Amino acid sequence: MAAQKIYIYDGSFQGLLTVLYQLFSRKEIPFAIEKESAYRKNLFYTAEYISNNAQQADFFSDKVKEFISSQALTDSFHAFLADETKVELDIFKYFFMGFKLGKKVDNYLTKDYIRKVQELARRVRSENHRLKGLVRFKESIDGKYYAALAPDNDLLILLAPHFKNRFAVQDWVLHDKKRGKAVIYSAREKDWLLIELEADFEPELSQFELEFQNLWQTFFISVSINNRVNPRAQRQFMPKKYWPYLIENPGSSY
Amino acid sequence: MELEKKLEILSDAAKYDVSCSSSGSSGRGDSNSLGNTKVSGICHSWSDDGRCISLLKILFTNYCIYDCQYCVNRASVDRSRAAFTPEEVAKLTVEFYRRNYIEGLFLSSAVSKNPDWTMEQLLKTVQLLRNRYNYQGYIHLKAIPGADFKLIYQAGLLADRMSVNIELPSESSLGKLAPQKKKAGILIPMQGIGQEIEHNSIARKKYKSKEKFVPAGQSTQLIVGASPESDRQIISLSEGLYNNFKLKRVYYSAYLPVSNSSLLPVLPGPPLQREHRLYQADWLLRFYGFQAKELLTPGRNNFDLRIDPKADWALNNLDKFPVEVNTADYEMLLRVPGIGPRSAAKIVKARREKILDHYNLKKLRVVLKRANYFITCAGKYGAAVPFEKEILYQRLAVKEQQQLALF
Repeated sequence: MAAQKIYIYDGSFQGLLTVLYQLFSRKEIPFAIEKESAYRKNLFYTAEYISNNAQQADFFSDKVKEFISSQALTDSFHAFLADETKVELDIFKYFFMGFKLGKKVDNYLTKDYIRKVQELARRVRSENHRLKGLVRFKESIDGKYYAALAPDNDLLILLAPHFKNRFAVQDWVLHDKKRGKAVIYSAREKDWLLIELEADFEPELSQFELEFQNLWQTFFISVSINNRVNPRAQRQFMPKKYWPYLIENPGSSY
Repeated sequence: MELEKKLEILSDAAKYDVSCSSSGSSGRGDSNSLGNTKVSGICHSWSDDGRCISLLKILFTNYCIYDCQYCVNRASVDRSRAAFTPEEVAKLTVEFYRRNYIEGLFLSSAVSKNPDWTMEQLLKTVQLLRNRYNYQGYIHLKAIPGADFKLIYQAGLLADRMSVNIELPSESSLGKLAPQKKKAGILIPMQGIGQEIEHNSIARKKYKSKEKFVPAGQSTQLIVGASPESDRQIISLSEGLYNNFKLKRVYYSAYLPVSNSSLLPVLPGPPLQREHRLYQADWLLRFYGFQAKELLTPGRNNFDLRIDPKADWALNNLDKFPVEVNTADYEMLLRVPGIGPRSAAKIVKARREKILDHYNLKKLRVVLKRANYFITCAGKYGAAVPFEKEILYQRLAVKEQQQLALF
């Protein structure tokens, strides 16, 4: 038996698909698949770096769609975005089983790795849904709308299309402070772009911004019913980790 | 008056309306308009009472000509009054929306001057938003009882959802507590909107370009605890509304003592637990295939506050249990306490692969806390208690000291 290997890729989903393409065409089972940034040299296993190849990645994703389902590809992409190490190996096993079973693979919920992929995908989607509501934009002095956030999962790429459809007529920036990334959207170009943006970036606000922030805080206080105060339920739906980037102040009405 | 003061007064006056959903409408908005709507609806914040804030919920005005006993805004009470202009409401909505504070506007109003005038103001506001600001986000609008249906129809073409609140679940309570309102005045606009929604959906199948009328459907609200109706009456009324008027939602609002009228009951606090049980029963009607007459029979008029309606039903129909998860059909799985649509679907999926045991269910994340008493897995009964009504009741009921303050 050949020594088990660790495969290393550049950290993008396309890179991961390239690795998977290579593994399936060589008929090899990896010991681990790791991001370049997370890899530490290991005495017992040999490592191989596989560089990103768009053609191979496309070929592989087409095969996944053909022989498993496009849902399987979407699920694995969402699971990939999750803040979880070693998800790559589960995705490999999921596809491995998927090529045997076809789209039925999603029924095999008693297999750990299949459930893992689906659960991570769901976790990412639910945070995505939550943030669609919790993101708060501030109007900057040049009329752009700026929002900072620090999500658990790497979600910008999922949030961007939503806000593109919603705020098509205004320029906006979504800034992931945790990962130093941002999505910028231009209303003129009708398109968005993923860029790197340092975590301490803060825009200068427009003169009306504070007025509307005040109005919103007023509304937030007066809409709450005092006989029914229930901070536990509030925290359950809106965990404290999201509070720093809100405009309203939870707990301010009583 | 300052805008902030108005907002404070008129959102405070609107907060007893519980409707908050922003779901059910899609396809509004394009690349040249501000905003769109999502079928799922999106909550944007949660206020300190734990209720979600998805819409900017305000009254247009709280100057009211009516004197309904249960209402904070009734004419005879001394409180600060204010009125917006259509321009102010539109401005607020758009500015809040641009900052992603809200999913849309919920606009209601007290009846000021007369119903027609009030409805005209609401209509003007919506026209302003849709036509001048090209705003395509969600709008929930109240139909004012007694207003000309032409006005309501015009508004319905621009709004996503409309609602008329029934508030009191029977005509006699209405006569006692809100003598100026008539049952017919409430039901006629509801029926009108319901019919138009139906006509519209048929017409839209024929002509693609036909404009939508109230695409997210209509809803209503009932006050619980201000009048003597039983849960059985309330839940049957809801069932009728869902079946006959095709309502999307019926909301229940625990009566909060907002006035000291002698016509109203004195309660120690808002009947939150009762409201919670009614919501649970409402879900059973809409998503679990239950009928009102199964949940409460003529002998039993109110829900047991200590146990949820589904477990209650199961205990009264113990002969149908325990259910074998590997063979029971989806509808029966849905009726097991603790198993909802998601778990039932997972079970049906997973059992195609293999025969499920308790360990498998746990791995599927099916919550067994309550379900365990009512199921067998491959013939095995997993709960370590005798299968008897009294014992199961003790296990399932909320203990007195740990009554939860839900919602």
